[in-house]
Amino acid sequence: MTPALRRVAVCAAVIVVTALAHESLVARIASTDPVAELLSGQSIATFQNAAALGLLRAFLMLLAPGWVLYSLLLLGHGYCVHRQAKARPPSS
Amino acid sequence: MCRQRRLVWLDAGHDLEHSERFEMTVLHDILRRPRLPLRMRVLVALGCLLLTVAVVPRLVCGRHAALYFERDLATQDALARSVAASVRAQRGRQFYHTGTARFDGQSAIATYQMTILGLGQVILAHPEKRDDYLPAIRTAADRLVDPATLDYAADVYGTHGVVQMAPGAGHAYLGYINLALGMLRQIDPDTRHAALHDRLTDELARRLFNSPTGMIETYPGETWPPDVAAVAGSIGLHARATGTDRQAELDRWAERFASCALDATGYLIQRIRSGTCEPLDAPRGSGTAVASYFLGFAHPALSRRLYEGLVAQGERSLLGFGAVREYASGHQGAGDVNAGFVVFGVSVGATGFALGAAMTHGDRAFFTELFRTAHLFGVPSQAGETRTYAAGGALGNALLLAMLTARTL
Repeated sequence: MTPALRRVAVCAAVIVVTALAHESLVARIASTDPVAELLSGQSIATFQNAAALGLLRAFLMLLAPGWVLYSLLLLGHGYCVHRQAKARPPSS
Repeated sequence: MCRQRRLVWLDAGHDLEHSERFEMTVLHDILRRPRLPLRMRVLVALGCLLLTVAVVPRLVCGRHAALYFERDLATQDALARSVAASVRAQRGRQFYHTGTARFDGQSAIATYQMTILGLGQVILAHPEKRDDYLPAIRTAADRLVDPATLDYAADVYGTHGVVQMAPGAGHAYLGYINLALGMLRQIDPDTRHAALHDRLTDELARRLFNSPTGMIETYPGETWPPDVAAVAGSIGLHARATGTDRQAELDRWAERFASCALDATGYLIQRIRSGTCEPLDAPRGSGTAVASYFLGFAHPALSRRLYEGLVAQGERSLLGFGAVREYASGHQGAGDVNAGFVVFGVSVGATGFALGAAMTHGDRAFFTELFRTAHLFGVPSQAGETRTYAAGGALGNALLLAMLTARTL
């Protein structure tokens, strides 16, 4: 596997794992009432969940798309170089 | 490495017959070696980040905005189901138990009121859903008119307003209850709360229209213009539901209300000294936005005036995500339970209520920006055909339902 392909694979794997963690955390929060927890003094747990959720969402929405695009661009660039080299006549 | 291998190959005198194998070696080395300089890769990475940050979040968070704005049934229904289920599943009258009777009661009133308004608005847009949501609306209404839900009112007035209103006593908190009863009356004209609805409206109208300042107290010594807007909205909705004409009275009242509580910035003053128009709090976005929504039921022109002030003074936008500042220019504060969290000057309350105001006045662009923010921080969770905003709890989801389904004037 070339480095570029490996980069794309790692990127995809990290995003999938993060997305699954995000959905799991959202389902857990949705099964409770965060406002009630906050008001009943369970603010530490509420803020911990909020912080974790914020980090996961920030990664998925802000960093992950750019990482995917960057990885695909490098993969595409490598492919173009490969095509150019293949088309180049062998030098003596 | 590639060059060395090539030189060794040629120096060894190998001819073109081996060129194919040589070429494959060269190509393999080309693919393995990074071609771009580090600086170029950093620039490309930064460019990718900036491009996707500018595009992806707004696309992801705004994809349902158009559906809500156009009152798509499936979209409204998904949130309405979860709100209706939340009310039906609630065992006690109150949702929160902080030990503060006023907050516990008021939050329950707000939850039931917004549930009725939201579900009612869904039914008005999609009458075929009446049988699905009327039971939840009736349950919410029964608890709304139960004096024990807001026993703080009885504590401060001696009796709850739904039981009796002493002469001169304001009871403006009844505006929230009466507004919900008006929505119930529109979709269930034979409701068993019709007589109460008529009595509360008459009592509140007498107080409101006879007030020199256009204001009445919420609790003894406390006058909150957004609550007065709820009272006026409830009178307008009663008129609509019963075919009564109160337009002339509402027009005269609107002038007094605006001259007393509307700040030069266009924002509504949050609290004033009872019996006067002296401000006791700043002009605030949360109060302005919710008042604009409530007044849409009674006085479209005044509602519009508040909305225009809200947009002119409070609209903020970043990468397609909108929010509303809580405090008008020249004022500062840390917010309160009405505003929720205040971050960089914008508040949860002002932003959330502005959704309803934007829907009321058909402002698609601003609604979409606000919706993206609500989606980002509300954390929607889909389970089958039901959608819940995980960060909102019972109160937040009821509020969002009412705001996202508001009728356009």
